[in-house]
Amino acid sequence: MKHSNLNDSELVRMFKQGDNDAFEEIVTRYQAHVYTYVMSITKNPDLSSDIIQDVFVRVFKKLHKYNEEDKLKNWLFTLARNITMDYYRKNSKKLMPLETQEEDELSLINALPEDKPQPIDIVLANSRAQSVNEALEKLSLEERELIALKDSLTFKEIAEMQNKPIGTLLSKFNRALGKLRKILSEAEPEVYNEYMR
Amino acid sequence: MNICDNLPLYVYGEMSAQEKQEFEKHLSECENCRNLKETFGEALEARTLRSAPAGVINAIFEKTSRKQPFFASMRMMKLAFAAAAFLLIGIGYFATVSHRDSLYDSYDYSSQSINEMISIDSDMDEYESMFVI
Ligand SMILES: [Zn+2]
Repeated sequence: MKHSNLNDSELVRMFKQGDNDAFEEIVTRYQAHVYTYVMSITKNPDLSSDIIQDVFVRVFKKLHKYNEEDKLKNWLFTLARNITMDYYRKNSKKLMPLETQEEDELSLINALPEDKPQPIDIVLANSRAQSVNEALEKLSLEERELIALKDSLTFKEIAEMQNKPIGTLLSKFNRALGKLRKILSEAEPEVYNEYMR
Repeated sequence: MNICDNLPLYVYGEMSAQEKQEFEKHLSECENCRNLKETFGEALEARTLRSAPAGVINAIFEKTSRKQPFFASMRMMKLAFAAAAFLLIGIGYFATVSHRDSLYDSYDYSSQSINEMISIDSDMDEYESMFVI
């Protein structure tokens, strides 16, 4: 049977019976989720790469003893969060100004000028994507984290994972949306000026 | 709880059919929710996950599922020990040979004693001499 057709619980069970391919399917299935989430916190590709290695190596070591097979995804994010926070605690002097870190590498890449002239709609879409990225950067770490978790989990799952009432998460999300709206509406004229030049 | 607070559940499709219907009625009456829904569509709806670099995934596999099993590394260890032992014996051999050479210098060079030694050495092949010394 192909591992990609199995659900998380089945994969965990097979791994416990000594099937390493089941573990590799777990990595393949969730690496992008975990990487995107860790990137949203660290904004640093190298550090995020180190952290996701730690996450999955720890999963490999601990999965034998893990009994809540159906909550694998939650567990992955909890591990990722703990390992990331540990990393910042241990390296607090060097790295803590997380919130004030300059530009994300991603937005720098997006900001690179294109060689070939591109259709106007693509130019517009790119600069729009760039201003969305910049707007996201202006949110608090907590808000960015919540948005990143929403790429992979339901509000119910996040509430369970963070042990918070769902209502708190919903209003936090709405506040973040409101902030984004404000930031984007202020960024609007710039985008169009760029295009008109 | 304010009904507006449920907008996130609506935009992410985490409502039952009935809740959805009720919320859509609210949307038609609430400009604030419509605005936030629009921002969601613009900024968050099309978010995509970023894959980790392929090298990172391979590194994970090499540290976990594709790690050399213990017995394989034991075999490597044995080979390494054998090589080290062989090297040490070799070094011992050459050290003794050069040591013996220097002994000749202060020795009696009468043809008899030298011939004696040569005959002893020539009786042994390389392999034996390594272990006799
Ligand atoms: Zn409303």
